[in-house]
Amino acid sequence: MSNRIFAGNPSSRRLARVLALLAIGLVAWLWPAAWRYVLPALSPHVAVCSAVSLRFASMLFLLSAPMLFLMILRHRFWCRHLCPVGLITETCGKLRRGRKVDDERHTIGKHIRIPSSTGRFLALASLGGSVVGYPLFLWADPLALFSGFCTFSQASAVGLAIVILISIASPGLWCSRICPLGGTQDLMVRLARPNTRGSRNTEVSQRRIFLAAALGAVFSALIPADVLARKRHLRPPGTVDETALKGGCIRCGNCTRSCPSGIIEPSVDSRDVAGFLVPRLKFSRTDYCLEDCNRCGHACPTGVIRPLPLRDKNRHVIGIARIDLSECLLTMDAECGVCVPRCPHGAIVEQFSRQSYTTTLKVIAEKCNGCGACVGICPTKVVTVEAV
Amino acid sequence: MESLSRRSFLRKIALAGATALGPGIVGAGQIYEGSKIVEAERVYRGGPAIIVDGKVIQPRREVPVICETDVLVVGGGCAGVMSALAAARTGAKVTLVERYGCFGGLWTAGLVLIVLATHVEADQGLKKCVRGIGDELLNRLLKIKGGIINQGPGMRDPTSDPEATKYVMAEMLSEAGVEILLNSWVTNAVMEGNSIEGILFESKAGCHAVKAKVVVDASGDGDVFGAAGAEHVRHIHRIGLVHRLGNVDRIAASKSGDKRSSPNLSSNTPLPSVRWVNMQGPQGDCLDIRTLTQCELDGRRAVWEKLKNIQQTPGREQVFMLDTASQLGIRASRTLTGLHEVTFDETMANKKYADVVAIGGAYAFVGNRACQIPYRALVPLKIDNLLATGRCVAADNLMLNYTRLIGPCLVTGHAAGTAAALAVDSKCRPRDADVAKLQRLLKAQGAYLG
Repeated sequence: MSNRIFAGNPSSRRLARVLALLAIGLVAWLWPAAWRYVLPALSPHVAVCSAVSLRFASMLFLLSAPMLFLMILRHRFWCRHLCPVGLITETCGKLRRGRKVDDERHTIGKHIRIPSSTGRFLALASLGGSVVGYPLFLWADPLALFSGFCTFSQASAVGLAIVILISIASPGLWCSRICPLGGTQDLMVRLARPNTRGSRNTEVSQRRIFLAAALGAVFSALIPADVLARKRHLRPPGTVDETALKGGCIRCGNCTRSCPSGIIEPSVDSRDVAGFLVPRLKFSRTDYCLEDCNRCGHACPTGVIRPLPLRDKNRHVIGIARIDLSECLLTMDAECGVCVPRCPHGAIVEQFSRQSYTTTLKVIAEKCNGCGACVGICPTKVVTVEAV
Repeated sequence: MESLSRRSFLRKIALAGATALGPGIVGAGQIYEGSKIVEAERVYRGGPAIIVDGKVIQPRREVPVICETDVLVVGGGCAGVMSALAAARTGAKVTLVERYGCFGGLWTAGLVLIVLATHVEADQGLKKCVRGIGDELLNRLLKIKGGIINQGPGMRDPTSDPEATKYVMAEMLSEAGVEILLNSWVTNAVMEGNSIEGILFESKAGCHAVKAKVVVDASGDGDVFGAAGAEHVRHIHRIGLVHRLGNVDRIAASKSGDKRSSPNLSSNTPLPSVRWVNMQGPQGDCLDIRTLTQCELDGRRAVWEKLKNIQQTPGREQVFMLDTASQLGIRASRTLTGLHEVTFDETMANKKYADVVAIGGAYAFVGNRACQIPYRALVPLKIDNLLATGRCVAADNLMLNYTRLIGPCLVTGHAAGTAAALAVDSKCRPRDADVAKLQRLLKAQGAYLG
């Protein structure tokens, strides 16, 4: 199968690659920010499952349309010529050239045999899961994995690293059997063009399709709302609820890369296992969620961070600032109070008591959106933003 | 005024002027000096104000020019004293006008005794940012017994004694040959078009003018650029009243109760038995006289209430009120809209300015960071022959909490004085001053410019 995927006239393949690279270069030149956002949005697998899951389609959804047509017209053309993960796995597979490898064995180790329908199953289970709002394996989309790797944070590279290890252990296994995007293509070809060569190779009975999807849906529905979540993190502004976020986020890292403040990081926390690599906010001394920015929402290919207009984004409550007055300098009559002018929303006010002739600080909950501007400036680090 | 036609108004003004010419020399005449009667100095008021149609009209009159000078520094606080010293040492003829009878402003009269933001932490210990004339002043205080603490190698953010500071400042000004006018409250600017030509001030001797080639506004409140019509920003900030407590060394530690519940005894001073106590106070418009009056009254009462609590705490019966500040702790009132604004974001980004003239040290909310202040933050947008310095330099409403500290005021004061003298020397407007030359001069005078 892997041979079939990577088969074809070598010269035409080379030409296609050169053209693809040129096209990528052209897009990058015309729209420099493209590389940050576009890649995961190209996947119809991600686009469809996200749209079903969130009952919402962002503008980025449109990017997957040409890919959808391509995938139906030329089965696995994407995998052969354009997919960056395909290129990587193929290269990794060649590392084994010196050794005798049974390409068609498709096992990991000696005994674990991977069925050829794994990719299709993953795609269907995700689709089924997305019906109940928890697309199970969306994060395994190769473009999401590759995009996550491009975030250049150690944890986000885990996915692609595993794919590479699989490909070294068993060349071609990922692309031909596991990849859910590949599985999606197999399914689509079968549905759109039932009598082509590609579809004959990917026989799936209607019953099995239904079963896989139903299994995904049931499993997703049974998953407790927050799997092993003992800690609530702050999420980027405009995110959907925690469960939908953890299920729907493909961990592509678009939001992390789009944030001009650099406060969005992939979460790695043993207290929040289901939220592994899901974006969370971490404020620094000067960096907070800027009141003139809503880029993360527009960069998110799935819509778990909703693309809100600026005004709505600023109204979205990330959390509420809390000041520990027992350690607050101003409350101790020391010279401070800088969080008051720092707050872009006028949510922190001084409260002067004529009785004691002292000043304390108060957060006006209705005005605070948890942007975190006050967190970094506090010299004694007593201001925090708490999730609500 | 609407009911009054222009012509009849002018006629009445002229009438008022005419009547003023007679008794315009009110207070002039003869005076007893011991047993002799001699000719007295005139008190220049141009006659009393009169009522015209129920409105109080000031007499229109010529104001006598008490002196003409190269550089006029308004305000004898830390920035003003630095400006006057710097300008005089750069070679200009300098006049310093101060509303109190002493120098130091909020540092001494306001009892804000700590000189903050003097150093930054570097790899090899502390690095001094406040150098030059400011550091010279601090080191002279060190020579006086009980003059200053935490000054010297390995120490930062010193606290000085207010009386020692007043004394040393006066000594340094006299040595530099600065002409000093004390007890003189600057009330207005003298303008010719967009250019400031001098100021008016009120004193016991009435109203006088000082003419100057360059005016340095070190009033803190920006009184001069406010009067001159320069663009500026008004601020509402906390108004406190600092006081000092005595006999703090007689607190019986064994008897005093829980430390947390005990009243705030704040910070050490060079006097071992004395502490100075900061106050935040209510927010208010520092240019509103009713607000200021209320703050004085309330603040002093609050301080006495606190003292009562202290004295009722076991072991603290001996603590007494040494003094309350004679100047309210005004934190911010006006800041200049300068050619460049010192902003928090730029400071955090460690922005370096080609026209840096002052660098302050580390402070709580800016962290361990040497903060640059560019020359443009001292120069008004439109008004010529005027420089602002001290806490009214152009800064956003976060950074004004930095530029108002004594450390930064010492360095911006130094810079403004040297710049004013340089502008006079090169016969140009301060905005056209050669910044490279200014920086060379400042470095020669010991200033740290990175």
